[in-house]
Amino acid sequence: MSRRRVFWLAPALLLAAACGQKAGVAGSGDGEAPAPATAAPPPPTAAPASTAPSTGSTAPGATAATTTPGTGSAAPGTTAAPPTSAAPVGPYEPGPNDTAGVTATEIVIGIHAPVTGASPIPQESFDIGKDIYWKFLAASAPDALFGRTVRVVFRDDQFNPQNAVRVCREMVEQEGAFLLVGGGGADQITACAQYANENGIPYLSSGVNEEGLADLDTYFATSLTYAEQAPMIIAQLQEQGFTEAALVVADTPSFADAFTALKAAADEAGLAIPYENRINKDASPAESATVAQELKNSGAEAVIVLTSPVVYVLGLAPGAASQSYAPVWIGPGITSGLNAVTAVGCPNVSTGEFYSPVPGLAEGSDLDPDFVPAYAEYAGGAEADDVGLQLWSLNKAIALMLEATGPELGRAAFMNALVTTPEFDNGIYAPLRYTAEDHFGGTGAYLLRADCDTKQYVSGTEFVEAG
Amino acid sequence: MLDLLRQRLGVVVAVALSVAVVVVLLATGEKESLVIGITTGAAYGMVALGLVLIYKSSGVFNFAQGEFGTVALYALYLLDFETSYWLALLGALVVAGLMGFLTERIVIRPLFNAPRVILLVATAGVALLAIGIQIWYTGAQARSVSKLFGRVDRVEILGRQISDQRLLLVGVLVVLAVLLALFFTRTNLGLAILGASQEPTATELVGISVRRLSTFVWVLAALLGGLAAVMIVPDEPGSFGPGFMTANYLIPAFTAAVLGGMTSLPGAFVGGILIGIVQSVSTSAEIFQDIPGTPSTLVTFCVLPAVLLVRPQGLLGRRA
Repeated sequence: MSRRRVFWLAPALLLAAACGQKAGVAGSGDGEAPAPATAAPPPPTAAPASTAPSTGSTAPGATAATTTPGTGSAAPGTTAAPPTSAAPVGPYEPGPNDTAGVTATEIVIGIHAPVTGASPIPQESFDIGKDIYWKFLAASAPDALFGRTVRVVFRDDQFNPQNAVRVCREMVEQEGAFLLVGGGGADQITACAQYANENGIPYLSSGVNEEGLADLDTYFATSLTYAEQAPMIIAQLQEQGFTEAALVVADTPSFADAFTALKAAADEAGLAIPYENRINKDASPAESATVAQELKNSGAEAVIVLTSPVVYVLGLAPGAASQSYAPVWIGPGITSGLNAVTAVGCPNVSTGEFYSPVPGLAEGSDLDPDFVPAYAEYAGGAEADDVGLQLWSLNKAIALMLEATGPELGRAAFMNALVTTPEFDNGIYAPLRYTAEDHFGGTGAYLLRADCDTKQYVSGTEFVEAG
Repeated sequence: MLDLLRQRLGVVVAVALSVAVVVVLLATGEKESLVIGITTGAAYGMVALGLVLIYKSSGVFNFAQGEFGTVALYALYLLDFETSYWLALLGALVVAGLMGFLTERIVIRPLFNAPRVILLVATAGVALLAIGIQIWYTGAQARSVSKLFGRVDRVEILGRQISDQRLLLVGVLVVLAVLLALFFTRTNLGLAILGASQEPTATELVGISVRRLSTFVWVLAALLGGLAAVMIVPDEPGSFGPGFMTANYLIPAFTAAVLGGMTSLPGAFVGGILIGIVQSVSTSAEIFQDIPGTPSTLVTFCVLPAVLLVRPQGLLGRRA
């Protein structure tokens, strides 16, 4: 190869490496969200209803109702408000792009999650799982969602808040997303939720921090926040006989309220905290080893941990194991409770326990008998996994919300439906309850326990109700 | 006597500093931080060794050094399924060496006469490309690798267990630092490499192929990077993902290399240990707890300019 050719090849490779992960970058850059071309919804046909009536939700921990596909407009196996022909009325007023992302036949949902970076959400699982429920729904209940189908667009936020905002803009401005969903990562969720709020776009995510999200009108949590889980964690430790526990929380502003809530809950319950540390979000090997050593020195037999899975799996847990120290690791969190953590972290994480909005894979499959068959049908040969179960459950909840909104789907109507419908119970999640003042809708969580024999998390089929 | 002291000022400073650090840590009850610093710092030092080797011979900051290690880890992970661990280990080093060879032939050699900054950017490109390929190939998922020696509690020093594998790492690092220092001062090949880095034209004039030397150095550095990774990661944390060595070890190793002296191989070892101790102590010591943000990062980057202000060539480095 001549020198001149190689000279040009090097920058080309650099460019390819730098840009390879960034296909379809938003180009507008002016901050204005152009209104995506959408069909205007039909005009209202009835007087606005005040609030949706109570729906007789299932009891907490109950198994999902039997699936009855093709029952009109209701999503299978779920309870929510019955559909009405008029858009729900509430505190939200339609904005200029109210029906963006909605046509007579389609709804576009944008999901972002970290599948690269410091989080181990498996990309392939995410790619496959993101729309299995929607395919199942379209086939089994074609009249659901008032004849509309859902198209999901997904972007990797690379565990980086700036990237999260960029990809959220991209999904809204280029893909025409009607609503946005955060798949994981507190900092990314907070950043993207704030962007969504500025633009009047509904934003849903599993519960993370409250600080930075509580004041956002368009943000809705689909599970308990970290702070809401604090009393449950303390209660669980006391139930296991612990009188003290160490506390390690990542040093990111997003976790400040959780740190405070955990300390307050421990204090209130009389659980001593002999050691606490706000560990670097990207802790170096020396820092992780030092904190692990200090944990051991503190004598704590249980450690409440709220960090990125990378710090937990690649730093703290192996650091403790190298010192023959095996405390119970317990915490809130979604990504630390993924089977990807046990797959690479076992045996160091064999004592891990994490609260999650969904149960273990086997238990989740029991709760919703449609889940595994739907995977067999629509996943192209891929096996059902826990990421798929998370996405299935989330999408099932969103389907209930869309149903409750009725045929006059718009962003304001959707959010009005959320805050006026008493409860959304998809048979897997603990029921979700929102009000105009409280958008943190989670009411319970499942306790996952690491099982290093199967390298998976297992749980019961009953969630723990928040106090 | 004074002349000798002046010549060896770096060594004197390094020894005095090391003794002072040890005394202070033991006196303040930070004995475990001392051990963590040494064992973790040995890992930084091992990566830094490859950085110094490249810099010493070609004046290039090699941003791809971490990826020589990560690629070796992937090779170890894959080969471990197919063959015995020892052969897998050997295969991993061969793959790392091959990557060094290809980097030199495809990227470095065509840019041989380009300004050093272009070479620096080119090595960053190699790292990015390698990480991109890893993500594409593995889906960004973490992978586990088993270790050579599984026992973790045979040796305990100052209240901290040292695994057998970590002891081996420290031992190998010391031996490699000394051997490489001897190689560069006592062998014709080593002296030729140094000559080529300082006076390439003159080196060519005396009949030594500078380009061939460059290939040798890059392969050697890649082997060192691979060796560092396959010794560090299986011990702790035991698993890795795309770009793991770059993300976790490259910056501390760069800092260690600069601190120890970019031209000194033993300096890489000393710098690595010092950075390990600084990070560990600044994480645990009471006086740093009130620093907002991340004390270890802040303290590390305060120590670095402080040393460079006093001794720009680093602790054991020499002025050009």
